[in-house]
Amino acid sequence: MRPIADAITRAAQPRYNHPFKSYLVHEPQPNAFAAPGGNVYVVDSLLYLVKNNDELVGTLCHEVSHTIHHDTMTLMEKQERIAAREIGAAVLLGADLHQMLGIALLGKLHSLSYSREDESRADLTGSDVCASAGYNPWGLVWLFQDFQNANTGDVPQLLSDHPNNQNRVNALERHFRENPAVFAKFSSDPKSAKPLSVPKNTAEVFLH
Amino acid sequence: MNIFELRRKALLYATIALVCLATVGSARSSLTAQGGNQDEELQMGQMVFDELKAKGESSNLLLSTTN
Repeated sequence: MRPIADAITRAAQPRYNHPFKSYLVHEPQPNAFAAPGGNVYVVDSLLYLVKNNDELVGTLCHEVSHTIHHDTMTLMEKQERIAAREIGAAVLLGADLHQMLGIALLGKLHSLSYSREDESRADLTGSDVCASAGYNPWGLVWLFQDFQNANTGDVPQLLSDHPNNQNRVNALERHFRENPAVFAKFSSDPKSAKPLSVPKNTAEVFLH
Repeated sequence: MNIFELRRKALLYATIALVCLATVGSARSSLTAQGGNQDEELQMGQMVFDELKAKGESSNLLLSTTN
């Protein structure tokens, strides 16, 4: 994980004003999410879900891009406004209530749904970051294709729950075609990818 | 230089001064807002980290950095 995290950090850092840090978290549900301020959380069970390094990197670059675009902050502010309206206290919204609502939303951070536009934008920026990091941006396409071929029940809430994976694949392929100087050198064939093998039933090792 | 020419010049300089003042004011408030948002981002990020860490400590979940 460390070389991958380092490469993504180097590629993404010029686009964001706080230092990126990646953390490995132990949970049964495969997931990855980025928090405002630059922290990126990778759940270890995600390593068993992805088929190769490029799919893993694509997922992380997508999440990092939400931080670059400040999507989480925008979404949380939007949710706060909705919550304030719901409790009919918008007029009384002072600093304390604002903070309380913010704290209440933090617990939902890993399951917040971004808009379709935010997701598409994060896909494209994510692919740019992947390419800058030296990893194959087709990994994101392969992951969407895997999700499309999988049973609905097997697909985790990862990279949002918008089901229109084909549109996202098309948008990425168009982005690759339009920027041949960046993307032409990468193979679209998943067989060219280095498989990510995490032996099952081995002791979990956490990096420090 | 007649009176109309003087008035025209005075109006022109006043307009330029107003535009400059408005630009400086807008840039300053934009910078202040940006700084505020950045602080808020760091605060939010720290709260998420603390919450995850506390959750990890209470239920034996581990949290570690990769870089």
